[in-house]
Amino acid sequence: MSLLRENAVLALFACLGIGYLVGKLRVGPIQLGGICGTLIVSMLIGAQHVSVNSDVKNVAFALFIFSLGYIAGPQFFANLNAKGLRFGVLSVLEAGVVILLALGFAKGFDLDVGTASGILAGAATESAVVGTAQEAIGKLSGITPDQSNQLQAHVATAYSVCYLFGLITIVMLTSQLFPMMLRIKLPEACRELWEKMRGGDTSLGEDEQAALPALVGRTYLVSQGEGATIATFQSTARQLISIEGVKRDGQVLTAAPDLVLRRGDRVLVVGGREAVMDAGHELGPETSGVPGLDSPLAVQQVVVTSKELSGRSLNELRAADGEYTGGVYLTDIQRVDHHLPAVGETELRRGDTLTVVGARSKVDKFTAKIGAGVRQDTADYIYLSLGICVGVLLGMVSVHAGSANLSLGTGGGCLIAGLVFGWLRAQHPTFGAYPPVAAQTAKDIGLSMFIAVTGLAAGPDAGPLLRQYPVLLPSAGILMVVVPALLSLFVGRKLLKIEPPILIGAVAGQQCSTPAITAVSNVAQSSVPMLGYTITYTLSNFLLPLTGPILVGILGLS
Amino acid sequence: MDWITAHVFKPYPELLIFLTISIGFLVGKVRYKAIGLGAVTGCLIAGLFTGWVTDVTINGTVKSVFFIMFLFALGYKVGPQFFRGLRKDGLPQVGVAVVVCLTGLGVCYGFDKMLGYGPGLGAGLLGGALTQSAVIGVAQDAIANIQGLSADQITAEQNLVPIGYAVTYPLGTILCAILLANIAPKLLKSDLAADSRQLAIELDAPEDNPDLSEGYYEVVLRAFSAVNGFVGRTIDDVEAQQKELGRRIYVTRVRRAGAILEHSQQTVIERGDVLAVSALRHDLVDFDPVAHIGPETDDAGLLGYQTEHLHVVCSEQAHLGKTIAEVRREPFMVGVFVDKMYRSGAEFPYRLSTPLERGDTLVLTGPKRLVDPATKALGKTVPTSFATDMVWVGLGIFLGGCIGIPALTAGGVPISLSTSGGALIMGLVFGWIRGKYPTYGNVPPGAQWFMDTFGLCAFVAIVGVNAGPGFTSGLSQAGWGLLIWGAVATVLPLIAGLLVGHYVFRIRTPILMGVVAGAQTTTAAIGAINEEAKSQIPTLGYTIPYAAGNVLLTIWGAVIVALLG
Repeated sequence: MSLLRENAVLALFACLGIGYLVGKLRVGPIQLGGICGTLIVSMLIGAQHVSVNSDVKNVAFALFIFSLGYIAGPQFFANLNAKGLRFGVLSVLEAGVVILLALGFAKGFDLDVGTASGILAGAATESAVVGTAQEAIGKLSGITPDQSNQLQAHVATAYSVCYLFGLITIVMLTSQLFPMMLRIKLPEACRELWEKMRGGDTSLGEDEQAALPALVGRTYLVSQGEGATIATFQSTARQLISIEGVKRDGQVLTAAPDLVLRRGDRVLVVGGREAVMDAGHELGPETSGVPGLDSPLAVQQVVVTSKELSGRSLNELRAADGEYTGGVYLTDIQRVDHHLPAVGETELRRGDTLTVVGARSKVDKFTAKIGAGVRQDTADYIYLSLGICVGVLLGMVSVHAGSANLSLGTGGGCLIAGLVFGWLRAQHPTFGAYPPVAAQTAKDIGLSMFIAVTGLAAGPDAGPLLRQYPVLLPSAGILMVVVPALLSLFVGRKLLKIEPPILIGAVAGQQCSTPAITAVSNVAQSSVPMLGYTITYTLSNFLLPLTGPILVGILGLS
Repeated sequence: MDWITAHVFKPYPELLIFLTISIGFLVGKVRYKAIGLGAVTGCLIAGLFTGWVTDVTINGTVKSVFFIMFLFALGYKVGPQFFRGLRKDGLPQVGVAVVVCLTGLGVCYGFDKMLGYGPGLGAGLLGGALTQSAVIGVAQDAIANIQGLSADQITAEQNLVPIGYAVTYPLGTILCAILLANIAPKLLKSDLAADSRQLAIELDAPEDNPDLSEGYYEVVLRAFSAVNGFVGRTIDDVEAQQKELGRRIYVTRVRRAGAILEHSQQTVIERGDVLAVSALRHDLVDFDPVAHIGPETDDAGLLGYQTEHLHVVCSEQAHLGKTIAEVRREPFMVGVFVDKMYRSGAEFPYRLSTPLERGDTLVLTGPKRLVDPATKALGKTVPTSFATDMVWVGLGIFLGGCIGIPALTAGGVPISLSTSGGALIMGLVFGWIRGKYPTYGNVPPGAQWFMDTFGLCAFVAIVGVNAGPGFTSGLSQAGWGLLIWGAVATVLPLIAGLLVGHYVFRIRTPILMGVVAGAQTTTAAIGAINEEAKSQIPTLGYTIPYAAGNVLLTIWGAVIVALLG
């Protein structure tokens, strides 16, 4: 232990390593998760009076919460419309109810502000609240450093216990109990809903989802097709094919639309198989490949940024204007960090990432029309760092509301800055690149480091607090999940009339509970619940972290 | 200013850190031709400036966390290359790297003694002249462990390291790039562009795109109704016959009476079956399938495929050492394309003659159904999930730090690797193990980016901030001599490396330029060389010496402090 005491850095990484190992433990369908594991391990190590400077925590937290906001940004603003706000009611309910419950617990059992906000953070399974609440506590007027440390430690301790119970509860509720209460069988309900959403289009069966319209490229020797320009030829083929290359007398020519095909040209035709076979009949005999003429299929990830395309399904786009959708095939739709069913019926939103396959020129055209290509390899550090700076500055602004002193804190400030910067990026994707992989990693590492340092600091105070409330903490954790979830179920079903599978997803989302939606999707064998999850998830991601400072502001030091 | 410092930067040091990084990257973008200042140096300069203006000190732990992450990631990235370089075929290149690094150490030590530099400035000179920023952290760690220095002296010496580095680094990078890209080839009587082209032809890669020349995208998949031929024979039989005739034609799927059959090589083809045939196009056109099998049909269900990109780490013993061209001839590669190849974390400009090595990552693309078996045959799929294996990273850094602590006494001087050096070594070992057993320890590119680039830049920014207040006094203490001797210390090891590589190991000039740039770990130089050579060929020599150079130069940081301390 003296080794860890002298080398704070080693202690930090020991917590991460062992914590994630512990997090892999699995009880039934529920996995503890690396973050919770890290917290437990770091509290155990921290009990031996190992500590890490809190600057590490601040930097990691700023990074984490900015990345969180950045990822959610485009979705967040996209959901500020009538449909999104209908779901938003659930997120607001969640935030409101957990604050009220936490207040109730604090008054009823005479808890200190640290324990109360820990219960709030844990039961909502929202780690960001730990940070925002701790920050708010540190800035309470008239607090001594000792008090501040102790209260902040209580946040972490109460969080860890409530988190455990809250996590198990939300997973069981959404994946097992809710379907029973709604009297539905989740897999069947999802399939029914899915079919209803798909409407009359029966050309694609469920089992054929994976089957792409196969894209082929073939070379033909022009004989009967001579005399036509590329443009006219393509339009007679209803833009279903494209001529990607022409070789004449050993020279590769650019396939410009007004190029006239001559006898003896060898042309590369790319498109759907049937269309290409038909085009072949018009052109001439097939030849073996011509070096220099072949164009490989390009795979490109595209972020949807176009305003007029948002809210329309891919099928509509294809029907409305075949010009740019021709020859491009969709293989994946990703919203926030979840995969949606990649079929023509799914509605596009701004900020969605599509993976499309096709000939390079077609893909580029498609990309230019609907948004911007994603680059995986660079990140705009200047933009990101400035964003965090703006966030920290924003967090310093404080508002005096009566006796309470409310300020966003670094957490809230960075979250909002992240949302705005992520949204701006989605509007103008020419700057501020922060590839999803990188953002996700920065978020994960930032969060786990923050949690590890927090746990180390809380270690020494954890034991007494646990001995003081051995029953209260677990039951608070369970209650604070059950009450808002049931309320949302009722409101969502009776008042908002949301379809049951989507509602269950939305309830998982209002708690930002990724384990829950994973479990629900597994039970449902469908990604339909995800449609509800993504909306409430983004909204709650914004609302829940702000509950920490609000609760602290209301309770004060009393 | 004071008010801002007291109310903004002191209570929110993270603001200062991110502000510095942001300015640093902006400064780092300044470039002349292919030589840029680079984000790392940019952050250091920005840090020195913001530190000088605000006079804020940032806690050392933050710095160490970023630095140790960076070193572990660096080791992790170059691990497979490093250990491979220790084997026979990499030895000449490693030899050059060792010569460059040893000369560098010797020259820097000589200058330090001559000019009477202490361990701080000496290590800064070494780091800057040999363009290895990791030296800063390792040297600072080592200085903290010197016996008999007061706390103030330690801080003073530690702050001299980045100052020495900042002064010597820009000139070091520029000189290295100019020397290797423009001067050295002429001295060795070589036309870099022509020689690279020549070498490219010898390595049988006539085009930049290795696939164009062999009709690589010529693998086709089509559906035919079996009415004219193939009827009554097994798939195995048909394929074997075509193979004997020198054609590669495979029946990959069969649809009978509406349903797709479970694939078996022993399926007997019946009249009316729809066959999915995969073949090289010229074989197929040659074969005239319409006459020998039946009319072509469009059967999306049978042929319909989902294109898949899979990252596969090569680990299957049977295929290691085969060239890309050989692997592509394997039956399981029909319909599967090699899209990209990554070696030691960077995209590798592979050629048809490039042999596969353990730990190489190939990006395979093609129909999911065909890519999956190909992946299994070659090695293990890399999970493309975003999740970093934190168990691996956390424990790796922890164990590395532990082995770095014990100090060995060599000739009365206690030398310890320091925790960061230990993390580097453990990163190498873990990266090497990961190359062998690639199902563990997923560190996706994003995480590498975070730990590697961001880790280093954040570290350097903090170093700069902390050293900023003493910058002017440190600079006046060192004087112009630092700049001049730094330049000499950059050039001498390069010349030694060029001589040894050319006369002793007889490495071809374009490759040698890459080797020497790698040995001195000057990434900016390889860009300039490639530009001058109009080719990616010099990069082929870069990876192994880069791995070796990184390890040696980083450890030199501790060694030079021990020598001068």
